[in-house]
Amino acid sequence: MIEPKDDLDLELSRLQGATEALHATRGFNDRVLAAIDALHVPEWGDGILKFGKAILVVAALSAVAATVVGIRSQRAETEALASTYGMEDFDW
Amino acid sequence: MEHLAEAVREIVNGDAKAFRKIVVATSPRLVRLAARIMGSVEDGEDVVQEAYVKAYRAIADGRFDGRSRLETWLYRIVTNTAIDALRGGTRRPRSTDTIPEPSWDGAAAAEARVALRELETLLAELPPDQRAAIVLKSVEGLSAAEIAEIMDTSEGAVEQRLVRARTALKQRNRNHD
Repeated sequence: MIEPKDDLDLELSRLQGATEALHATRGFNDRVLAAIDALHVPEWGDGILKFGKAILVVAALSAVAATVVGIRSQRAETEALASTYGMEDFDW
Repeated sequence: MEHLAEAVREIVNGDAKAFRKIVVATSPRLVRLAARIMGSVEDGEDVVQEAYVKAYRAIADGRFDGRSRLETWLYRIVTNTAIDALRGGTRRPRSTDTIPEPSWDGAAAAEARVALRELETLLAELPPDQRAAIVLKSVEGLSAAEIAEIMDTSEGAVEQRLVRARTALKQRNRNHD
């Protein structure tokens, strides 16, 4: 047996039908998707940070390598000068 | 709605753009639901946008396990976000006009907004959980079992909320007669 609808049911049923035409304002879906896109901005930031750190490490290693090469070159030059000096001394 | 399940898989695999399919397919019903609970389209949109952000994060992180249908799961997020918004008082100030201004979407939508204000006035004094329950039952037409799943509670608790809400609304109507 179907229960008879009371005034409240009738009122809610009327409002249900009357609000069926409700819909979002223009551009709502695009605003939602822009909010979703905005979630990825920190990931870009993280990427830039990681890239920057990698560059820093490479630069530091390059500096160390350059220093080592510089010291070795200087040592070789000093040894060469010393040898030359010795030979000149010997010739003299 | 197989294409929505496919969209979920694409998002999990890193294709954020696939979320558009979910938004396009579900936003009309979700905005209507949220507007009915909140009492205004603008507040409803705020709720649905927040709910979509939560849903996207959950899907992308692999926290949507697919045990419930995507639509039911979104209904749950929207309903709970709306209840939180009602409890937190984060609603936009209402216009004092009794008739909404004609908008781009014509007379039918304007009439719907008038009806939404009537619904808002009718439900204004109900606590948020009773308000959501009565909208889901009497306006959205869901069963007590479906509402229990959405509100993450038992059918008995849903029935109790509905009885309390109906009692309060009938009392309100008697006082206004």
